[in-house]
Amino acid sequence: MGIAGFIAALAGSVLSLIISFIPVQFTNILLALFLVFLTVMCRMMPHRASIKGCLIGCAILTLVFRFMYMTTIGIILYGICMVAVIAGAVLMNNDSGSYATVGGEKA
Amino acid sequence: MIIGIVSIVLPVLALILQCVFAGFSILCIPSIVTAVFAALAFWKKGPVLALVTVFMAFIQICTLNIQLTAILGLLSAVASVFLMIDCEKFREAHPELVDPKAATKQMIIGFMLPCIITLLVMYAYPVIRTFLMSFFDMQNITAPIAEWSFVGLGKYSKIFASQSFLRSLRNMIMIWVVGGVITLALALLFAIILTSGIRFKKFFRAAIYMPNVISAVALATMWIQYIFNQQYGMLNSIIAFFNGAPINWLSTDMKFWAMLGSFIFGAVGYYMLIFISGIEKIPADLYEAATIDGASKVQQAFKITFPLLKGVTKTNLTFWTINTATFYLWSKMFSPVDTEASVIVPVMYLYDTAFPSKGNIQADAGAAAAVGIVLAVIILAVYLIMNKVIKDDDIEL
Repeated sequence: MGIAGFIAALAGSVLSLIISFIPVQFTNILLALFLVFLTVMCRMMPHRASIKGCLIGCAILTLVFRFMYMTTIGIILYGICMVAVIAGAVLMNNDSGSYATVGGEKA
Repeated sequence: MIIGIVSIVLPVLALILQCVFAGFSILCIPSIVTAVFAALAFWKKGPVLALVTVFMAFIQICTLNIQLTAILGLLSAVASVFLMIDCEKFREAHPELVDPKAATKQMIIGFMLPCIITLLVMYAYPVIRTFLMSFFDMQNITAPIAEWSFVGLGKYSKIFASQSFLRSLRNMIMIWVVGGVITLALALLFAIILTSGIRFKKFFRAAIYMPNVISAVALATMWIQYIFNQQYGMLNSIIAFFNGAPINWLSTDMKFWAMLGSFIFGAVGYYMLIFISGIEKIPADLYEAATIDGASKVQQAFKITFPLLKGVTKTNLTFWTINTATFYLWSKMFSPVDTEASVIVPVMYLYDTAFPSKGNIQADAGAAAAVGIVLAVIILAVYLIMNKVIKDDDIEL
């Protein structure tokens, strides 16, 4: 479930990064880059729930703060990407229960 | 240690560069908040404070509008994530420092702060700025505070000396009183009829609510072109059928009433729905008891329905007051080129004052802000008076 979550979150964040280039929207690129960074961090530190919290919060903030600057199609595409990111973060967090608290190794 | 300092320095650097290249503005606030929270998180070693720092740093990326500062914002967000991990590791290494109550409190504050800060920046700031603007004279609405000159209540006396503003207030009161009585009476009548058990209830409810689904611009255009048109309009066709002389519904004398009529048509459905929800909450037992006692439908309406709808009526009155005070679109649609005195309303006066369409009229953002404040005071006063006058009668079951 953790891998599925990671793939979903990574797909969402990378897709939002790609969308940000058509046309080039500098702020959106930076926001998407940060989401990609957080997704990778979530995978690297699966036992830390706070990073997944950050990922979910930032995905919501992306939509809230960029809402008025996007076209309708942009909002829809971004919405789908952010839902994928949030779902991925939730899946990764659910999976973290199967990790030992010390060392992040699977129990 | 290093990561803490980096996460404080980066937003400060972004702030300084933003101020140097674009000047200080509201866009700089997230950077200040990020720096403050990073410092607090570093000092207290609080993971929740660091979490808030991450969110604020993220918001900072959206608000900093220069590429260099935005990149600094991104780096600051990355640094905040590492600061958060650092704080968590510190807490894990020192479990004796963890106070569950304080941690819960921190968590509550931490999660509420971004929302509160956003609310303050997005809502409170414009309100406070508008209030302050009403006491100052300035070139335009975006003039920096350094260019404002204090005039006290000068803007208020200016708008109250303006015939246009007084006319707009008079029009607003007419809409509120006449329109309010007709709209709410019709809405209540339809609500009572639709909840009395008639057939095709859903169809009628949807039909009456339909104008709310249509854009007000389209609705106003339909009324102007298809109903009020002097040559082809429906009203004049009916008059012509009875051999009457056609009436110019959009003349100066008639325009206000034409506008009010079409506005009421669009508004009734909305208030009807609120009344229906209120009526449906009244227990059926009361009506059954009244029917057994021999009360007619009219008596039931006056003795049961109306008294128990006080709360809903108050809600509707408040909504109607807000609707009237913010009335603009219909007025604009009925006088699209030059604002006509017959249909002018305060918001239209406000808009014309802040953004005059004629080149020879100077914009007066201070006076426009004063109009906004007067409207807000009117809404507040009406709401408070209604709260005092109309008391809710709770249904005791």
